[in-house]
Amino acid sequence: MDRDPLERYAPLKPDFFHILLALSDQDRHGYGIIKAVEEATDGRLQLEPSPLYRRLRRMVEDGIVTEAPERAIADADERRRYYRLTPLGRRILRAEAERLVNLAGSAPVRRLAIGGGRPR
Amino acid sequence: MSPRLRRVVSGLLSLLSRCYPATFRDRYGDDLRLTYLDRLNAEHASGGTAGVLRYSLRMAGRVIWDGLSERVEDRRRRPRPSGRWRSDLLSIRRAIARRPGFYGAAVVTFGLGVGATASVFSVVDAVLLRPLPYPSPRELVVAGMAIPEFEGWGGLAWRLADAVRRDGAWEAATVRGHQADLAPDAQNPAAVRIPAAGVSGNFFTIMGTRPALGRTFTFAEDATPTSRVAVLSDALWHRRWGGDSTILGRSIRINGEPTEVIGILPPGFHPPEALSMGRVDLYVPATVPVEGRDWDNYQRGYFRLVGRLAPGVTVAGLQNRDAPHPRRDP
Repeated sequence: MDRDPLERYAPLKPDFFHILLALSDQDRHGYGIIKAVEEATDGRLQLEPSPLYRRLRRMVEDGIVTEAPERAIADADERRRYYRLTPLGRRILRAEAERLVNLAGSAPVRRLAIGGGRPR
Repeated sequence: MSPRLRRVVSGLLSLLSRCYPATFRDRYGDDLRLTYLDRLNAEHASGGTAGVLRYSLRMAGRVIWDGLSERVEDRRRRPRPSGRWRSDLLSIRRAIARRPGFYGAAVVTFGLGVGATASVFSVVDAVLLRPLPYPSPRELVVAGMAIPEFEGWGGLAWRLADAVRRDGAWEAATVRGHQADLAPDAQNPAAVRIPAAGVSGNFFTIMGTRPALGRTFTFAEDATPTSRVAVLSDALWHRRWGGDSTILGRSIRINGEPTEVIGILPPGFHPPEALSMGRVDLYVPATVPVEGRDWDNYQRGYFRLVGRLAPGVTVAGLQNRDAPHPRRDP
C-alpha cells in the first residue's frame, strides 16, 4: 500500500494511460476525457462514465490527478468538475510512454510487427 | 433528447447512484449524472429514443455493478478495529459471571421498561396518532341522553331516538349495542355469545364505510322489523369462517332466528369510541327486536346516535334546539 506510486502504477493499464494522456494537454471534465480518449484511439477505447469516475476517484486519492481550481474554458458548466494532471501524474505518464517506446523499439517486437519470425 | 426523457433518465440516475457509498456520491454523484446525460444525448443523436433506452439499460447495469464494487472497496479502505468486538464480548461475559443477580435484575428492569413504553405507545398510537377508519372523522357527532341519576350518559328510547335522527339539523343513524347468540353451524360446533349492534339503515353511509364484500343494509330492511339480515366484522368472519367468502348469502342462526349474511366489513372498522360500544362483531338492522322480543318501544332498547351535521350547523346549535316530538306510530 505504501509503495511508490510510480512503481505501483507501472505498467499503466490502458484506460489509466489514456485518461492521463487526455489530461496531459489541458484540464477536462468527465465527458471531455471520454471524448478525447475516443478521438485518440479512433473509437477503439470507449470509456463509460461510471468506471471513469471510479478511476478518477482513485487517481485523485493517489495524487496523480487533481481537481482543477479554475475552469479551462470561460463558459464551462459551473456544476462540472475539471481534472488536471499533477506533476506526479505527469511523471507516471512519461514513465509509461518511455516503457512503451522501449518495448516497441525492442527487436523481437519490431520483428513481430513487420511480420517476421517468432520472438525467442 | 426531450426535456421529459431527460428528467426521467436523470431521476433514474439519481436513484441508481444510491448504490455508491455516500462519500463517493457526495463528491462525484452530480458529475457522474451530467456525464451520463451527455453520453445519452450523443446516443439520442445517433439512435433516437430507442438508442437512449438501449443505452439506459446498459447504464443501469454498469452503475449498479460499479456502485456496489465501490462500496466493497470503500469498506476495505476503512480501518477496522481488529478483535475489538471479541474482547468486548468476553469482558461482558466475565462481568455477568461475577454478578449474575445484578445483571439479571438489570435485564428484567430493562425488559419491563421497554414493555411499558411499548404499551403506552400502542395506546397513544391507537387513540391519537392512527387515523380513524372513517373519512372526515372530525365531522362526526355522537348524541345520547344525560341521566342525572348516573354519571355519564345513556341512550334514547326508540321513538325519541328515531325522531332526533330525523331532525333536519343533521343526518344521523341510531345505534344500539347488545349481545347476540350465534348458534353452532356445520363448520363451528360451539354456540357463542358475540358483541352485536343494531343500526339504522343509513349507519354505514354516515360512517362512510363500504363493505369489503357484499353489501350493507337498505332503508327497507331498516323499516321492517322482520328483516333477518346481518353484516359481519372482518375479525368474526376470519375467526369463525376462516375468511370463506361463500358465507355471503348463507343463513346463520342469531338468537335462534335464521339470518342471512349480506356483507363483510373492511378490516379494522369499529364504531366510534364515543359510542362506548367496544368491539362489535355483528351488525343487524336497528328495528330487529332484541332477543326475539316484541315490536315494542321499550323492548327494542335504547339508542345512541351518530351523525354528521348539516352545513352551517354547530354542535352548540344542535344542543340548544328543542327536543323533537316523537312520532306516535312506528
